[in-house]
Amino acid sequence: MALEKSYSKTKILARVGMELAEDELVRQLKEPGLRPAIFSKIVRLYQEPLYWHIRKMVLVHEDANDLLQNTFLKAWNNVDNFRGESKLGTWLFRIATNETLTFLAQQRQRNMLPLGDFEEMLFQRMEADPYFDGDETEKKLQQAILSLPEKQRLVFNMKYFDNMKYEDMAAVLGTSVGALKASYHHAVKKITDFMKNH
Amino acid sequence: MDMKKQHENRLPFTVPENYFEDFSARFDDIVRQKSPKPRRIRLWISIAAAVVGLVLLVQISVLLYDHYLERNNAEYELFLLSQLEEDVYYGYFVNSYE
Repeated sequence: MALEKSYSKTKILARVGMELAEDELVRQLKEPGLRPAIFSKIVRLYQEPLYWHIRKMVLVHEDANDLLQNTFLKAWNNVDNFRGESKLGTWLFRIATNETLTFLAQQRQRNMLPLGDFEEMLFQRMEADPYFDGDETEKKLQQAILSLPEKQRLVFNMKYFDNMKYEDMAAVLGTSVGALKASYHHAVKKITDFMKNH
Repeated sequence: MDMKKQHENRLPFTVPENYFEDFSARFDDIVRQKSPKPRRIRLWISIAAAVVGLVLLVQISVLLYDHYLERNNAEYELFLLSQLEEDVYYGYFVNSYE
């Protein structure tokens, strides 16, 4: 099976720091005649960072694919409600985050598993996913990340894998920079302990 | 432990070949099917809705006014009858049914 390793492209988010271009996209998005073409550009620009943001939380490609589609559909249906008060990317990341957390909560409820067993199920599904290519250490790291509470998992993933700025994370997650720094610090400590003890 | 050095922040995930190209193409199709109505059509829908609303408002007002007049007339007739002497009163009814 031919596979494409795309994780390095997550850095696209940094490239999307072209605020002028973004302002222009948002302005054109308000024109109904241009909207489909502009939205198509936006999908091409953000699909990769959003996909990896979701995938790191749900771990399995099929789920990440469904959630990415739901994220863009929700954005498309709510374009008129986007007032441009936040950055376009922040708005999209917020939608993706909400979709992902809702999905995980639904899965947890549907499977009615005791605390910890749901994470174990996610881990097993990740191992069985044909689009997982990690070695033993990477598996252990994913298991350690899964031991964190969901919100802390988000913070850890955004900082550790994407090196996202705390200010951008704060805009997406609606938390203060100080709280995010503390959360990341605790997450690193927990993961380090997990890696030592397992 | 320096986690960054040890794992080099690599994500152990992959996607199917051409996944992102296919995804954006698939999404273009979805958007094409779900395109919002052009502004001109929406404008005409708004005007039509406003006209229908106005017609309904006028009709309801006319109905209410007719009802008001009928009620006023009935009340006035009762008032006039109450002011009549008994003989004239019965005479009025006898005359109305002859």
